[in-house]
Amino acid sequence: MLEIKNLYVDVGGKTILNGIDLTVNAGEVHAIMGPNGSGKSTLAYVLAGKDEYAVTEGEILYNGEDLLEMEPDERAVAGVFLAFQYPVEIPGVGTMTFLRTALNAQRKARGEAELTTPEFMKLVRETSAKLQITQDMLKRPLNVGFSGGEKKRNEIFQMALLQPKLCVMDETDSGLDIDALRIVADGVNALRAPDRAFLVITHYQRLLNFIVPDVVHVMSKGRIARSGDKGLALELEERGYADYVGEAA
Amino acid sequence: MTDQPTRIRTKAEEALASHFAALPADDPMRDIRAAAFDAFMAGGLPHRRIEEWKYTDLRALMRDAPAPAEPAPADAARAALASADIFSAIDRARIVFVNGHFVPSLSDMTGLEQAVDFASLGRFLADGGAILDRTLDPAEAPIFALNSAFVGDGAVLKVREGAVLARPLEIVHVFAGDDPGLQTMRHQVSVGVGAKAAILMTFAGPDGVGYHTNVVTELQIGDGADVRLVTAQEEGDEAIHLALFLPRLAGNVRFEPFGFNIGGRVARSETHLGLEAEHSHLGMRGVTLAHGKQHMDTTLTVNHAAPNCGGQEYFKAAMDGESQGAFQGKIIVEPGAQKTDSKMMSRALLLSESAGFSNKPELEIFADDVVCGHGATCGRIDEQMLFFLRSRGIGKEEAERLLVLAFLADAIEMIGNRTVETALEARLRQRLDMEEGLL
Repeated sequence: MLEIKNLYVDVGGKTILNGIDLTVNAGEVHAIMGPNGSGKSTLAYVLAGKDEYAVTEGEILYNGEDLLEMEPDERAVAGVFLAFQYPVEIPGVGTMTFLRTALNAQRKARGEAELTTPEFMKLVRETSAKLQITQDMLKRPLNVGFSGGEKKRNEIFQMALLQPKLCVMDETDSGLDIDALRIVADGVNALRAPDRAFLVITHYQRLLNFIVPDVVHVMSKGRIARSGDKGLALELEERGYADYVGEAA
Repeated sequence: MTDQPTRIRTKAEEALASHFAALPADDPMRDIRAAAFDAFMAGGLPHRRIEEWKYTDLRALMRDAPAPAEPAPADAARAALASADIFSAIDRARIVFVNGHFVPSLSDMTGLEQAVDFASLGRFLADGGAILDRTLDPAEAPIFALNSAFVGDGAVLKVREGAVLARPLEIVHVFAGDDPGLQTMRHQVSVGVGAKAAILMTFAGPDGVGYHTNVVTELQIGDGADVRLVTAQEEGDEAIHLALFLPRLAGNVRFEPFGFNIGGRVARSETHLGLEAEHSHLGMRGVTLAHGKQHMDTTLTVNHAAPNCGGQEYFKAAMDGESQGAFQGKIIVEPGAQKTDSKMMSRALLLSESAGFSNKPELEIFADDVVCGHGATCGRIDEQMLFFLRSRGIGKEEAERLLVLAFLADAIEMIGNRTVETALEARLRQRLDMEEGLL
């Protein structure tokens, strides 16, 4: 599904990613761990298509297509979803208006019929219940006045509504208490499917107790320093990132 | 060499002079009109070297001046009125002016008979009984002087003491016809002690016709009255719209005017407001959405002459294409107007490289126990918000439209009347979608 080959990325003239190679197949869950500043979030943003990230070398293929040639909204239509580490507050744009606009924009771009109001309401009702998204949250402007945990749940809620194929989660666990973490993990696990892949970026092993990965990668200094199975995450939890912080320096 | 240098008149000034000379000689208001026109011609059209007109140089922007418009034939008037439908979802009474002339057959005051006294100003002009003088600062005067010289009609409206309007009253101004014309109106509105009124003002006209609108609204609000005023300015795209609001507030008044500005080639909405007795509250807001070569100006002076009054002014503008905009807001706190609480904010969103906006907030405070603040911003669409929306599959243009609408709706939703808010937002949505390449 996703092939990243020898990817180099500059941000503001500084090289952040130093030759990433990563292959994620449909149905797999990959965890990316690593110390602060190792380039995890940069990788997430590059996948979603944020402007200020300049790819200087390498390529990203998504289902065989050049992802870097696609606009952010085209990527979303093709099934790429980024759950933001810091979801953006948008005053004046109602959560429901936003959800419906996004859902119908994607459907339209794929040549599918737009959802009618009753269809949309039914979908929202069913999906929101599972993630404990309240009516009050749906009535508010997007993410405005939401707590940190509410914002993160809202991200997974959008993921569940939009049904993407490649889910990139950028530190979704940060700022979540254990109950919220469980709700988010249940939401993600419910979405696991043979035709869907996850790239779960996290600083802590804790999330991976709930969302069990197939592969764990450790990023350091803008490249993947080591890959392994879920045992690698446990090892990191015990020993910390000290081995990796020094390594590439 | 004691002669004053002769100022060279612009083409528009020449045209105005000839139109004025052609007014009927037997007009009982002739002397008042002549004095006003002489006062106007002494300075001519205001231009950028006059501080109050720095951003709206009428000498350059007003290339010609059409003759006063004739009343429109009945069917043309009716057809034109159909275009002024922004508030059609609201059950309202209507006073209709077409080409600057009151049209009784299109007006409907049903339900307001017990609350409102109305007469057309035209009646008082015809018998010489109209009162057109009011002392204004010379810098404010050009629109006013031209209005006194050419005024043809208007609404003389009195909301009776303690009356509550059963439904909103809309004053409609619409231009009909394919040829440019000048429509000049003066409204003299008084709201009695303790009365409650919702007033709508609508301006509409055909695209592609260079007609001019000059409207002065004098508004006297009595003690304890509550007045909501929404002005929807959607003149045709070649029109020049000059509006002057002159509200005076007694004590314990609540006054909430809202300006919705999307029409005209050149539009200036100028307000000079006085808070003249204690414990009154002003909540003044407005939005502007411009594109193409539109020039939009909002100018206001809020004069706190009495203690213990509150004022909030909140304006938003979204400028696209090569449009230019200006906001000039001055708060004056007179000596003795202690405990004044006044805040003013103007925010502009620039949607293209060529669009421009000038903010000029001013505070003149002569009292020492007041809370006054102002803020002004000019910026672009927030890149983080735009990326977030796009990352969910919303195309760039649609995401930008959504953000522009959200930016302006923030001010609209302070009106506090959902039906009116919905009507204005629907118009914005229409304007944002209809115009290809608008964003």
